[in-house]
Formats: sequence, C-alpha cells, structure tokens
Amino acid sequence: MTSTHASICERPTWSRGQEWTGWHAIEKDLWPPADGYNGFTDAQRIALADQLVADTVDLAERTKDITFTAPQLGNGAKELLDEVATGKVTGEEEIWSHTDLWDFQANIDGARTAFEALKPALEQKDKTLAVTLTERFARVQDLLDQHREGDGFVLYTTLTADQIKQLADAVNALGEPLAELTAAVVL
Amino acid sequence: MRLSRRHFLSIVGASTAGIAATSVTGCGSDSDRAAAGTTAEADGVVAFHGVHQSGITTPAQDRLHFAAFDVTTGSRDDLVGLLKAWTDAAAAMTKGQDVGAFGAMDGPYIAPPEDTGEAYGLPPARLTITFGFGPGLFEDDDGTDRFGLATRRPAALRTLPHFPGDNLDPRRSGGDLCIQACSDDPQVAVHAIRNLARIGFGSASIRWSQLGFGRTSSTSGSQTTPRNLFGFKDGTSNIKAEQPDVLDRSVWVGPGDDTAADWLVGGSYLVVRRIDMHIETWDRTSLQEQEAIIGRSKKHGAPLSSGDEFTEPDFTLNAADGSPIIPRTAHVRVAHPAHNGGSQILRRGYNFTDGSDGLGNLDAGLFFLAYTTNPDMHFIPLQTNLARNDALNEYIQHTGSALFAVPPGVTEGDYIGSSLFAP
Repeated sequence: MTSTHASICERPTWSRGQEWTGWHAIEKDLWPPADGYNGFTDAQRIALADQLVADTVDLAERTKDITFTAPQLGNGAKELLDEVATGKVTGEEEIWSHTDLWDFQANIDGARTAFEALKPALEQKDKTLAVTLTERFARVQDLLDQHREGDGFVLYTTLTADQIKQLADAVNALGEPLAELTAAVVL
Repeated sequence: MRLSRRHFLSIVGASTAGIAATSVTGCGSDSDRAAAGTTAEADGVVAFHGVHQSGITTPAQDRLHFAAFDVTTGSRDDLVGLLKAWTDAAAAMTKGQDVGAFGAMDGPYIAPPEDTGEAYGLPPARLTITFGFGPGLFEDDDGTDRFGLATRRPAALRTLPHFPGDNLDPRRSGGDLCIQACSDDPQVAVHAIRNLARIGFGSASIRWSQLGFGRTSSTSGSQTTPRNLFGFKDGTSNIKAEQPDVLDRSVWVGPGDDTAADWLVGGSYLVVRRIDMHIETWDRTSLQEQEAIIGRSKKHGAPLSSGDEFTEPDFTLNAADGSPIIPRTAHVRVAHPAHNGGSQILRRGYNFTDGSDGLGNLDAGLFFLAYTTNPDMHFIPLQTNLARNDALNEYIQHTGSALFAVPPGVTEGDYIGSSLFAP
C-alpha cells in the first residue's frame, strides 16, 4: 500500500530516489512555478495521467473489501486530522495549486466516516465524548462551508491569517478529543 | 584591576559567611587565575585552552546560544584580527571575567562600556565557547577564494545535500563562521554571543542564531540521560567523554585523515540541524504508538526488546505474530550503528521553543548538534537512512542545516584557527 501511496501522492521533498509521479507532479505541471520549471513533454503527461488513473483504480480495488478493527478506525481518524493539522491548514500540501481546502474536506470526511462507524459503541461507553466530537466535527464543517465557491472551495491563498487561525483552532479542538476515541471505545 | 565575576561572587559569599572580605582582595592577579585552574569544579570554570576545543566532550551544559555568522570583510587581516579578538574575549568570559581591559563597569565614563554587563556578578556557570568555520570561508557561492584558503578547504566541508523531507529555511541555514556557547545559565550563554557579535561588527554579522533551553544528550557517563520534547530519553547510546578510543575514531580528525587540511587535526566537524517537532499531533498519539515509533519505553528508556536503559536492543526478537518487537521503522533501529556501518556521532543537541507558529501551535523542536570525524562517512549516510525509513518523520521536519569545520584547541597566547592561517 505504501508504494501505491508514494506513486499517487509523493511530495517532491519526499522523493526516495525513484521517478516522481502522481498527483503532485501533475499539479506542478498544471500550475507551473513562475521560473525555473521546464514542464513535461506531452508523452510524459500522457504517461503520468495514465499511471495516476491506473494506480487509483488499483487502490480502490485493493481497499474495497478491507475490514477495519475499532482501533484501526479510531487511530485512522486521528491520523487524518494530524495530516490536516500539519499539511492542509498550513497550505503546504498543494503548494502550486493552492487547492488545500479540497484535501481538508476529504480528510474531515474520512475522519467523520470512521467516527460515525464507532459512534454507536462510543455512545454506550462515553456519551459526553460522543457529543463533543459531534459538535466539533460540525464546527469544522461550518467553517469550511464558509469558504465554499462553486462546486468546491476558494484557494488557500485567498484566506486571511485570521481565517486560517480559526480553521487551525477548530482542527486542534477536534483533534484532541478525537485522539481519545480509540481508548474510549476499546477499553 | 577589574573585578572578575568569579571574584565578585567570592566576596559576596565570604561576606555572607561573615568572613572578613579583605581575605579575598588582590583580585585579577595571575596567581589567583592559576589557582582557579585547581578549583575549576567548584568555580564552574571549564578550561578554554587545550588540545581540543571545549564544549564538545565537556559534560553537556543545560543551556545553549548558538550563532552563525557571515563574514562581511574581504580582508584576510581583518578576519585574523577578528579571530584573535574572539579568542581573547572567549578566554576571559569562560573564566567569568568581563570582556576588554576595563570590562563592564570600570571604563571611561564618557565611553560605552566594553562589556555589555548583564553577566556581571554571575558565576562562569561552566561556559564553553566553541568556534567553527563554514564552507563559505574557503570559497563563496561564486567559487571565489575570498581569503586565500581554498587549497586548505577540508574535503568534507561543503553544504550538506538535500535529504528527503528537508524543508530548509535559508534564514536558518549555512554560515561562514559559527559560535556555540553553552552554559548552565542562559544569561551567561547569551552574554557570550552578544559580546562576540559586538566585537564582530564590521568583520562579521550574525546570519542566524538559536537558543536552546535543555540539553538532549549526555556527553559523559556522569550525567543522567535527559528527555527531548517528545518526552523520551535522548542520547542514551551517545559517545561519552570516558571513551577515548571512540572519540579518536568518531569525533577527532586524525593525522593523515585529510592531508590538504592537516590544520584540522585535533578538530572535528559540527553538523547543525534545526528539527521542528509536530508536538501537538505527537501528544495525541497513544503511548503504545509513541513507543513503537521510538523503539524504547517512555518511562525508563529501555529498548522494547527488554532490559534497562543501557541494555543493547535485540532487533531479532519477534512477537507471537511474527512481527519484530522493535518495529522495522523504529527510530532506535534505523539510527543504530549496527544498521549504519558502525557509524557513531557525538550528539550535543538542545530542546528549543521559539514562541508559536501563529496557528495555535508551539514552534518547538530539537536543535541537533553533532560532532563527527567525517560527515561524508558518518552523518550523511546515517541521515539519508533516517530520512527514508524513520517512523519519526511523520512528527518532525528539518528546517535548518549547516556544516562547520571545528579547528583544534588553542594554547595560551595563540588564537583559534591559527593553524589554518599559518604560512
């Protein structure tokens, strides 16, 4: 799974010696830096696009029948929030396209899906935490919705410092109790 | 004669004890200074002069102020003059004395004091001042031999390569010269850098600097192992001052190691890395996961394979399900000499917190300092391995980088780096 992940979304700074492929390579080519970037040839573009589609189909195929344990779900939700806190809310993830809020939303969707799966069990064991998490997911979603435009979001670069801080605070406010989810459900 | 900080304290101490202060008059005399050598432990004086520079195998002090400088003069004479002035000032300050002939308080009334004064009355607090030379001193970015030193450039002294995951800030990287000031008192360390920077104006200018508030390594068996900001003991298997063979092999540059740069014999290389820690997300990680990432227990620092802190990790041990007890990506496994061709480096890093990041998180991490006999052989392969395989990478990011050649120690009357400038 790691190699497929690398192939699809390896960041340039994380290159491990092999050819840089996947979304971020394409991203840079679609939103090229002002200088010092030569771009791909058409043949390279076709190859990159074909591989991205093939890798994505492969990933979807390999993950559709996976079953998760409760700790895997809980920890997975926590790690999705970690990614938002260290990469999306800082604008580092989509450094050329600035489409970080799409990634932000996708990670929140993933974390919420994992939470929803555990929610019935959590409500039996720790009702207060279940309420807190429900509220804080809603708070993050409410903030994200304020930045919607068309069928997506505004670019990260149009956010003000205050708006970014609001988002970061909401992510931390959700991340902290979300990290308690696994122990609350399993113990 | 000016009053040294050490003597000032002696008087205060003696007075408090009710002993006649006249018994400690005659401060600043040569005989008093000589006597200081024999009472170094009690006075908190670490000898500045010696075969090697202090501040490397010296038991790691609690505080750090580190500064990297750009040399702004084009004159070789000015550069040598700066190193001589720095040597004199460093020798004085490490003894707990003020900088200059008149010091902080006793100079001409209509002139600014030579010493800035904030350490006046403070003990030496084991201050060490360690100097290093960056690649730019030998050749600038355009390949210009600025000071006629290019032929003496140590082969391994060049900008470190880009490692996977690096996100380096040029304002926290590089430098022609560096000074590492360590002390048990932060004010003493800051005073040292402040006064050396002041002496440098016109010849050298601070490029960047870093404060460190807690040591993250033991460099002597007499010290307990401290904790880094992940809350784990750090530097358990560090090279220690009590291992002279290992120091000769792994820290000090030896005769014949680099014949073009034989001036560096008795010196070392200093690798500097500013490592940001994502401490907020780390703090949300379960204890089990934290220990799996490090490969040691958080409480005692023992390897997960068993034993106590100083037990060698057993990487061959498997759990019932066949998975290794110390995971394949655990920091202790990936960093271990057994998986790095036997490479060892002397680590001397510090915890730092530089305020916050504007997004509600602390700007915190580990300011990594390491001394090695050859970065090409020891640090670069090790860091390449870590950058690729260490599970810790999810929680850290390297944001600053520099490499310096650390000249050998200086004898009384000589100046730091004189072997480099000798004809």
